[in-house]
Amino acid sequence: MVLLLIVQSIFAQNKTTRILFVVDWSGSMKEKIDGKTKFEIAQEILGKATDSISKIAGKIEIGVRVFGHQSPRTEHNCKDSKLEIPFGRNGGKIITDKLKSLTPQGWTPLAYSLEQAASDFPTDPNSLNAIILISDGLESCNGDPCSMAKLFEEKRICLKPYIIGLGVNEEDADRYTCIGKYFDAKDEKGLRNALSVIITQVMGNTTVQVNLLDSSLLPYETDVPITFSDFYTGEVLNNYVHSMKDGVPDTFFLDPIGKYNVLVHTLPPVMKSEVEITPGTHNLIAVDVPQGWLKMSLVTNNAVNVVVRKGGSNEILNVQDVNSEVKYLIGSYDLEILTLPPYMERDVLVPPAGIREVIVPQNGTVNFTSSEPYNFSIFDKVELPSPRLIFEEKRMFPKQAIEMQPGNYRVVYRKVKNAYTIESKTKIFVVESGKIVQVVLE
Amino acid sequence: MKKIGLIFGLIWLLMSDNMLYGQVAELREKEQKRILFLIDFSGSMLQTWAQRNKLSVAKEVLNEIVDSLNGFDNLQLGMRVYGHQSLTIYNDCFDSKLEVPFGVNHAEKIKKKLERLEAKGITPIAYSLEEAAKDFPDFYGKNYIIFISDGEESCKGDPCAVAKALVDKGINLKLFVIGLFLGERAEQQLKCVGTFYNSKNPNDFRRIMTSIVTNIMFTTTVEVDLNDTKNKPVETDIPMTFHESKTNTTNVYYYQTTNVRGNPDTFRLPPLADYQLTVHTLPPIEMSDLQFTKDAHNHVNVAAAQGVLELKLTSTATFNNINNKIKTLVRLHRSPATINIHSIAASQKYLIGSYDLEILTLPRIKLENIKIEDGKTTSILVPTPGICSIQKNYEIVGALFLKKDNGTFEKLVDLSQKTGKETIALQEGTYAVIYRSKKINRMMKTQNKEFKIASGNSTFVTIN
Repeated sequence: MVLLLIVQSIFAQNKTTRILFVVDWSGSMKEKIDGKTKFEIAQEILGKATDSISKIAGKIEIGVRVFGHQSPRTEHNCKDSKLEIPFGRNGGKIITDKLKSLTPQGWTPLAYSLEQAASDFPTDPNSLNAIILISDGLESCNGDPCSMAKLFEEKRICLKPYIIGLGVNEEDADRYTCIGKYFDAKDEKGLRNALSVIITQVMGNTTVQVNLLDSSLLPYETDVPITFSDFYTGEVLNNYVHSMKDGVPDTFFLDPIGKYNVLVHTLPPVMKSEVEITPGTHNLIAVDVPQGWLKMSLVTNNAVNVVVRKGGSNEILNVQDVNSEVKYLIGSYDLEILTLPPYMERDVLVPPAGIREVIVPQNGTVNFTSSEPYNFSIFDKVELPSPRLIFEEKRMFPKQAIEMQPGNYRVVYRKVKNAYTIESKTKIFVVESGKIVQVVLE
Repeated sequence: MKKIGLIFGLIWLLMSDNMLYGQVAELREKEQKRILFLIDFSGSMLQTWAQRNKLSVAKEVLNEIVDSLNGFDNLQLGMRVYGHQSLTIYNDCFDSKLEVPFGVNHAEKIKKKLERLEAKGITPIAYSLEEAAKDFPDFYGKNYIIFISDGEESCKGDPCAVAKALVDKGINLKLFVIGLFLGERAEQQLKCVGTFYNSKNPNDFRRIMTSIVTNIMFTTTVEVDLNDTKNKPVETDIPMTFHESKTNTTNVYYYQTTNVRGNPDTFRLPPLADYQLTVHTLPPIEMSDLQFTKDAHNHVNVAAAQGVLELKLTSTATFNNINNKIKTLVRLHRSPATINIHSIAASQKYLIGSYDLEILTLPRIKLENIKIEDGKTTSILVPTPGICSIQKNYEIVGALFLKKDNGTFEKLVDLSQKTGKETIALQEGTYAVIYRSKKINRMMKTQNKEFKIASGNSTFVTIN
């Protein structure tokens, strides 16, 4: 038996690989293929496969669970399943000899066997567990092997189970696919090939490359943090900051068990859900994150917040400072610029791989002078029927050095001691960028 | 008398440039009124003013004004002129004459007289004022002198003393003085004569004249009641905008106030059609199609019950320079538009109702359905941020994350790639910097550094 050469990568993690063979020893295994019974084929090939595996360097343990071998069909024993060989560095002979000592005779409690198999694996966070199920028939005990398989994925117990159907008709074969990855073995050779492929996958390096695609669908976006979390529990498993190595997205390891949510922390973040990692191969995860820059510019050092929302949305996406450049997914954004007065810039387009610059005019300064306290209010949009109140102070000496955006404003004011509405006064003043305007309240 | 004078004196501010004269005719009042125009025809009136001379400007505006005042059965107009009979060289200090005695519908007479008279003499103001008071047959009803002058007394009289004597006698007479671009000395001298205005330019003069006569003629009053939930007009000190759509008379502002009697103040507005009123509360209240009944007291009832929203930090002792900049966006509950940007440590009034707040701390705090109740203060305590100092000893690529209670990470901000210190104010909680060296381009070398931030404290994170 030839197994592919397993190249130990420089990243190889110090993990123990545990492979559990779950073998069908029900009565039907006595059927013959090309003059040989199925169970004879199975015991021979499993022994050889085990010998091959044991030649591979690294921490590998093999165990065997058998079902349908303890009770005859008449007893209808749906719990006829047993871990016959516990995990260890077992040689092929041990396995072949053990299987030879067993008599195929009973039922096919697939679901029950898978359930038991889950607890065959020792609790070891530093291990990679795999189940290889070899069977020639469907569940015969009303169990639901598919839901068991799903449980493995949710609890991250092991890789998606491998199922090898030994002389199974096509119709039945379809019903295995929900359990895991199905291989059809019509004969001895077929079984050998299937095992070879499976073991290569289990033992091979699982590598991942995240392609962050730009607007030309090229994987040139990078430097973005990415969170890998469990699809079922949401538990965060890995945080990485994406990088490019030699002009291509960097390759890294990811545990091939279970399903992932891949959250790319762009603005806004992009989530790729239910990502499966195929063991023993190089996996490409492509995420569309075409980005451009939004550059907020202001001539002075004033701290001004810019509230960024996705175009038409009410949800705040980010609060960006002026005089900063931040990357966003390409598209249209609404900016609320918290100057005095605040104003909206709608439908600001962040272009692919480009910079959209939004210039906030420099403030001017208003100095109010007065000899006594006032109620006073500043309005903008003075040309509208209903101007907008943008600043108000009551019962105060007007504040000095109010920084405002350039424009026409109106101040409406009344001495605190004056008690009549018509004693209020109004003055128009103009604020120019970088200049100081004096307004005397009298 | 003094108070009324003050009211008249200020009301012109409320009138806009494009108030139309034609509307004056629509408004009549039963009470008897007399207006005497006292006009300076001294030689200096021939000085150039805005490419014309002051006399022609005065004549033009007076013509418009008297036209607009024609047809009021209860209004008598008269005109006294000085400085028009003798040349300056004669130094005639008694050159003052009632050219048009009082009468109803005297517009034409005044206009004809104005056309004929010439400016030539000196300026006997005090004497003219004395005589003008005598021009009134009696002082029943309402009596006004509108005095237009371009210079100071030139006959050693004391205009102020004359005016004061009239006031002291208790004569039912109100004096307006309009200067035609007066110098400072003349202004000082004439200020005390009556309610004083100095026109900077011809347009200014026209507006002053218009607003004075408008306010003499109109007695339509408006009272805006800003009511609380018990329909009591207790809300005060709120700016209001009146906009009149037909004439596009824009932007008349008032501060509503509770007057000395504790009632909402009453003020005058031309009873034009279709006012739009904006009460500048938070959010503003807009009322359109307001119609005022002329010569009557008009009530506008506005439901404007308010409460106070106060935002304050749990502790204020630390990092005031950073923390005082925290802004809060205030929106009506479930409405997208920001109605106010509320500063930390500020108290502001809002109309009663439900509001959504988004406090721009890091991470942001979203508070929904915050209730503002009538006359009450709703206090929101914002946890004082802690300060996170991230010292980077090499260039990195990475970001600052909030680690939530469920173990997930929310990116808050990308970190600067530069080496050195980066200071970020953060709410209390658990955070992580997730980064890798900029030079090492392997994802597996990503580091995950978790740390806690306590309110009001400094936390140092070193990337080395």
